[in-house]
Amino acid sequence: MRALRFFLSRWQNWLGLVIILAFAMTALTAPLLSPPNKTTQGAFKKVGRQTDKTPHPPSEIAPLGTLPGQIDVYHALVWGAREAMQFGLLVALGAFIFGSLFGAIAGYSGGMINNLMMRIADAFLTFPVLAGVVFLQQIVAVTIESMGGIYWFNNDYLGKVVDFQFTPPPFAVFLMKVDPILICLILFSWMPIARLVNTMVITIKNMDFIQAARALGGNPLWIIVRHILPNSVGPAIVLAARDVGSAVILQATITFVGLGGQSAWGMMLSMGRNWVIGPGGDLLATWWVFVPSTAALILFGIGWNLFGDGLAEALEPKASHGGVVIVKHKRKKKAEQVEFEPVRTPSQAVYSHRIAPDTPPEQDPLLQVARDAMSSRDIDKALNAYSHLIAHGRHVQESLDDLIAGARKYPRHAALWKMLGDAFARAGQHENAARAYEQYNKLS
Amino acid sequence: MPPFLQFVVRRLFYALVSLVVITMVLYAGVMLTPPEARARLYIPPGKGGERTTETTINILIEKYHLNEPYLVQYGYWARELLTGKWGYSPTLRADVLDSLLHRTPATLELAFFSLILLIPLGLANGLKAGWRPGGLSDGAFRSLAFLGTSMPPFILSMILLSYFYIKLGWLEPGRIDVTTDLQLTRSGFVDFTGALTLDCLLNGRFDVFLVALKHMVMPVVTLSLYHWATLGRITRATVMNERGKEYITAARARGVRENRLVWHHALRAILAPSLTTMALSAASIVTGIFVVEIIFGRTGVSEVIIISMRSYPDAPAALGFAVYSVLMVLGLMFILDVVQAALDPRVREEVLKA
Repeated sequence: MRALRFFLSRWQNWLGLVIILAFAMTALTAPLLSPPNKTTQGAFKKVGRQTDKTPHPPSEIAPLGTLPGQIDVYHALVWGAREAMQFGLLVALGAFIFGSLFGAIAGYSGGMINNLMMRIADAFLTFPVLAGVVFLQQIVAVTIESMGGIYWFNNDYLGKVVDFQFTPPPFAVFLMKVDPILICLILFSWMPIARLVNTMVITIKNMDFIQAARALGGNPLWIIVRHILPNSVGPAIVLAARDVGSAVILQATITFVGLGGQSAWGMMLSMGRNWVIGPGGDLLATWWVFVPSTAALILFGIGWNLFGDGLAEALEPKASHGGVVIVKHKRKKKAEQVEFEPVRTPSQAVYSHRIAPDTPPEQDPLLQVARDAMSSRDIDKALNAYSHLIAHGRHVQESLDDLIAGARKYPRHAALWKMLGDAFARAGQHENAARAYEQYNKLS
Repeated sequence: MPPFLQFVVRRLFYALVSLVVITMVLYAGVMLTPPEARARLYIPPGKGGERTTETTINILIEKYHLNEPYLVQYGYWARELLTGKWGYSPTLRADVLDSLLHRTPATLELAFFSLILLIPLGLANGLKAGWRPGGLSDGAFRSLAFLGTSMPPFILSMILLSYFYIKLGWLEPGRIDVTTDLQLTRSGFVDFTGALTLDCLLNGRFDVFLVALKHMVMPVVTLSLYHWATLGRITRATVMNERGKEYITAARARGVRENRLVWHHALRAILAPSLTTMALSAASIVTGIFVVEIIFGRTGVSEVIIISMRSYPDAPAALGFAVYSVLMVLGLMFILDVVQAALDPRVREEVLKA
């Protein structure tokens, strides 16, 4: 909640949010905003003769004018938003899933495997995307060719040709359907996410609740997906959010330089590249050819960047202020809570998450940890676990019972009495709490 | 061995390990294709390119062990790479390594001019801005950096081309215009290195040097703006953190002048983090170089992929280009690391300790 309030307290974040929501709305309502008809092909709608290579200014049939070849700018802009949103989110999602799984598996395995897997991630960092894009498309092309198909990137008369003289084998059909640019951008943006998740997994995996899950006999993949990932995805989502904007801009760049890809905005720019300067040398004479698509691309990038930066800052206020923490809304601490707030260990954040307060006591791993530790006489560890349980109001009654039993068993242990006092206070039995604290004072 | 040399050797070793890993990943990508497709990597010149007969393919599969397990195949392929046989590209109608190598000077030239411009400028502006956050130079820097990071380079290049080339005619794309080129050939101009600006200086032709620079301005500006902005931003954040440190206060108390404080004391402290970020984004710098080359029609390394994507499939060119561009990235990273270590002794020590 604090993070959310922090996020909403800055106008940059609002701006980012508004831009993204505007694009999302446009993307969702594209069929209403600009209904397709039988001349539409993808994001492009023809509103005149294709041989007419002069862009026409805004008119009734084309609200934002036309590109050379009489393609409606407005239609391409709206449907381009839909495609860009889909593409960006798919890339971010793919990178997020692949990166976090890769990082988590490496971190959980540890040792040599971790080293090797992280080396592979580093190796991907030294790979320029453009080379990857070309490489992947050529691999696909060569594969289709070796299956007996015909593949031309750019035939003189027909443009791109992918054809089989016979019924294509299923794998070839699959290859023809997949967008290599999408795969490629996923392949080249998962590494930072993997690194981040990897570090977090390594810190988390030796904590008590994971040990408990392992003791319960959970298999490794289940532990990673169910317990480790939920606790380490927050920052990874931030990275993925930043990827959305850059992926779309990169796709447009690739389309613009003619190395494949189907970015509608990129194609609009490449179709109108000779009309940036209109007749008479006036920069804005034919503005509708390039201003709308340029503005859309830039705004899309800015929106997601602002949103990502804001998220990062809200989740970790230290990150981008150079050590100065600006917290506008300070939470008032309640007096009673301060009294028995446990020592802040890194594990606390983990303990507080993901276990519903209404889990039955037998299934709460933390309570199990506490009880195990108590019965093996590791009282400090047990007390640490109980302090988390009590601080979050989880199974207070059970903890109280255990602590009473413990105090009977080890009456000379001061910290135990203090914890007992905390438990009583949390359960609302203030007289008992006072007596327990008195005992604690006597002993220490 | 002196510590600096030790550092260099260690860095070289890391680069080598990275190279091995990335080529293995690349070949794993190749392994996804059937052996008949892999054989196309090895088709020699004159064997018909895409119309190769089945017998030739089978001979190639046999010769290069394309039915063996992954590691064996990788070994054979790596041996071919090391001996300089990068395959024959049917679309370029030339040997892949040769065509990459003779296009390299043009690319290096562009990279050199951009980096020489953007690194000092990025550091200086970021330093100036972060020293007095909220000041006039900070405001100016931040708005320009915002423009730089949010403007996609290809759109910037399109606008620059339209305005400065088509409308004003001040600057030009390409490497050199046809007239000058023809005169050069006639006047006995010698290509010593292949990098035009350097050759001009070696030949003592300063007029042509200016022409070459005129063709260089737009690509360099396009390429630099984005990375200048990111570098400056990181420097600014580091400086804001650094300027409150005690050693700065102590130096100020000793009576060190403010200018010296900024350009001497603070600068040394921020070099390492800023250049590290630069080294980490080396891949995106190289991609940027390719994009700019393609848009401005400079016939550098990226011409290889443009030609290979123009007609029928050409796997050797794409694979060779991928390996070559990784080499370029590793080289750039290595140079940035060494520069950083030469300027900041802490970096050397850290690496040697590790």
